Amino acid sequence: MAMTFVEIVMLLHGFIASIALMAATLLIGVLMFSKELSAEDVSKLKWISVVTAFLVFVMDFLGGYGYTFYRVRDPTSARSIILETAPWAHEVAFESMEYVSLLGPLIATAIAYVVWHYGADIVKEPAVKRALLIMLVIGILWGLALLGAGVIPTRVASVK
Amino acid sequence: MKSLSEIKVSGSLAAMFSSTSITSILIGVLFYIRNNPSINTMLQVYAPAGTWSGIGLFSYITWIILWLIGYIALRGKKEVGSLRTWLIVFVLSVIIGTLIIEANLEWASLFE
Repeated sequence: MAMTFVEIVMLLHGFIASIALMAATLLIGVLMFSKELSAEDVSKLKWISVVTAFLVFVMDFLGGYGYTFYRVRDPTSARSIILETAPWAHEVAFESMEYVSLLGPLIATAIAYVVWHYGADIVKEPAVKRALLIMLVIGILWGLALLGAGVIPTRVASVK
Repeated sequence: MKSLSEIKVSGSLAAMFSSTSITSILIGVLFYIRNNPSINTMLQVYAPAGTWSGIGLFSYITWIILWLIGYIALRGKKEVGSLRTWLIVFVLSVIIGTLIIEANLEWASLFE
């Protein structure tokens, strides 16, 4: 069966979330295992962090687009079905995912700005490395929690 | 080897941290007050997306404005607190913003 446009958008939404988490994990790997970075490596990391922050904005926007279909006041909409069968999946899981995720672009931009600002010092200066690791770990844990919160309502009824 | 508190934060970085931290808490506050009828109407910038649209729009606009103001005011400064202080402010603001939202969800629905 062919996918609808909104289903493709929601697929992209989840795909971008996974890409952002993988990019953050890659950055943690670089911080943990690199002693020194070439100018070229620093440039690559800067761009990876900026593109990831941009993708988090796009992910939020795509989520908002899907949200307009989700909350249609119609008995066949995903929201209506979820409220009928498992209200907590909307009231707690979905609402957490939708509203808390507004913080995502802030966290991703802050991480990108720190990478851009300190450049090669993110591996040379242990204190800067530690600060960035803390931000990345918080960003990843926070993102994983929201991904989990997003999967729950989708298992009950997805946006179509 | 420098510690986190020995790394001084420049004005431009402090502008980013402060605007981001304030906006994180603002998102939580806007979520908290969204059920007030007049605020609810104001937050429905794009009705099909409900208050999510207004909370997102107003908080991101505030973020950009605060960042710009902070950047202009602090750009020449070499030391505006330590990295440790700003990291604590940032982490706490993300936790506070998230907790305000979580505390105002319908957790009772778990037992329905």
